[in-house]
Amino acid sequence: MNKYDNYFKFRLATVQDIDAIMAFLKNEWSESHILANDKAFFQWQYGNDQFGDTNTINVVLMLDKEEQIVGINGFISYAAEGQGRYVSSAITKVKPDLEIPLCGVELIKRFKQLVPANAYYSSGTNSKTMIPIGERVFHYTTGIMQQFYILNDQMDTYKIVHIEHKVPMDYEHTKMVLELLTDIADAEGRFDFSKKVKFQGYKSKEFINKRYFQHPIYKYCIYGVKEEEGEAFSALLIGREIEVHQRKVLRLVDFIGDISNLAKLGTALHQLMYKNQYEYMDLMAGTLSVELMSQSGFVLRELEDTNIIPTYFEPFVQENINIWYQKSDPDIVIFKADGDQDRPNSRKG
Amino acid sequence: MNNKEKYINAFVETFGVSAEEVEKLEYSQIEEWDSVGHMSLVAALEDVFGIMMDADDIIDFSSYEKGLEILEEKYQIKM
Repeated sequence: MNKYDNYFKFRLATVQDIDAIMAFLKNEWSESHILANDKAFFQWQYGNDQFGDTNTINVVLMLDKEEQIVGINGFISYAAEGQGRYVSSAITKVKPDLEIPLCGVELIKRFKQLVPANAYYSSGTNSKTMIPIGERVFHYTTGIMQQFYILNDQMDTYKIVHIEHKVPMDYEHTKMVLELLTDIADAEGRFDFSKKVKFQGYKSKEFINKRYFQHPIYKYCIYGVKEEEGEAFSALLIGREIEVHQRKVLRLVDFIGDISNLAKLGTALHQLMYKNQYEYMDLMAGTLSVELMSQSGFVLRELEDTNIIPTYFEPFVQENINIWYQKSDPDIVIFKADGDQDRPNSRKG
Repeated sequence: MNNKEKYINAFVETFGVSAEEVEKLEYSQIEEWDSVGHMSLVAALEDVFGIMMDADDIIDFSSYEKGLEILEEKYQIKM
């Protein structure tokens, strides 16, 4: 208990709170925000049906004495509470006119008390407002997400990227292959969903199924990573095709499994890129070894790079944009989809 | 510089105010002391005194006077 308890109540939201949360988002965040307008999508993103819980919503509420919402902290939980939970903050907003100072910081503190986890991490953190709080108050590790890319060297011109300087195109040839999965059942018995992997927050089978196989708007390309002659998958690689200017790119947004496998995918990724005529593939992480990624042919976009590898596609922006991350465990590798970054802005996707 | 001068200087440097204005300052009283400015002030104080403040103390640090009290009582910095 502290002074904030004299003014506010903090608790986890339930399905009964959804309309009020959406109205709060509309008033305090953005009138057109998908989570303020699309109730089905809101329930999909913050509901816990995949864990058999149809009541709790993954939003911590800050309520005033009249039970009105004055702050929210939405989060993504990668596993049920008893499974060794890892959590990403997805949205934090407090009404700006509250008289008590630093309510946002107190809300994040209460979020961590109400939602205990092995680690908290997310990409897409606001560098002006949230990063200083993460660093100073919660002693998180923070930084700018690396953006690795493989450019299609079989194309003469580029419409999405802007290339000022040539990049190395070589990679190590390996026998690892990618098998496209269309249903979580395709991975049953071939991928160990219960395995806890070093340098990664644990993502449960229920989460993976819902987040990538059952996404209500986006269609993800989910690949099992395996040896050419083998059956078992050592990892799952998740990407999403985006089409702009009659050209396609593949954005690799998550990797679940032994990180060292990323060094062995050069042959498989290049074949995939040529076959599907991707202008480029990219992968954002916080952070991976540049040497490991270069073995698969990935090039790191430098912070002041004159080559432009776009990050925003809704709407499309042909600029290099830096995305910040924060993590309570410095050893964890974050991928772009961790948190709220790989989310549609509208039903059109 | 003694500790009190270092403390005052952290406010002056962070918020761009004069030393005379500092003693009556409270959180959000001036535009510069918002949540972002607050974290900059904490960073400056942590650097100058070689401390790492607890989350509760950072949240409780609501004025010049309160900050003095916290640093003296919780971090044994004699002012």
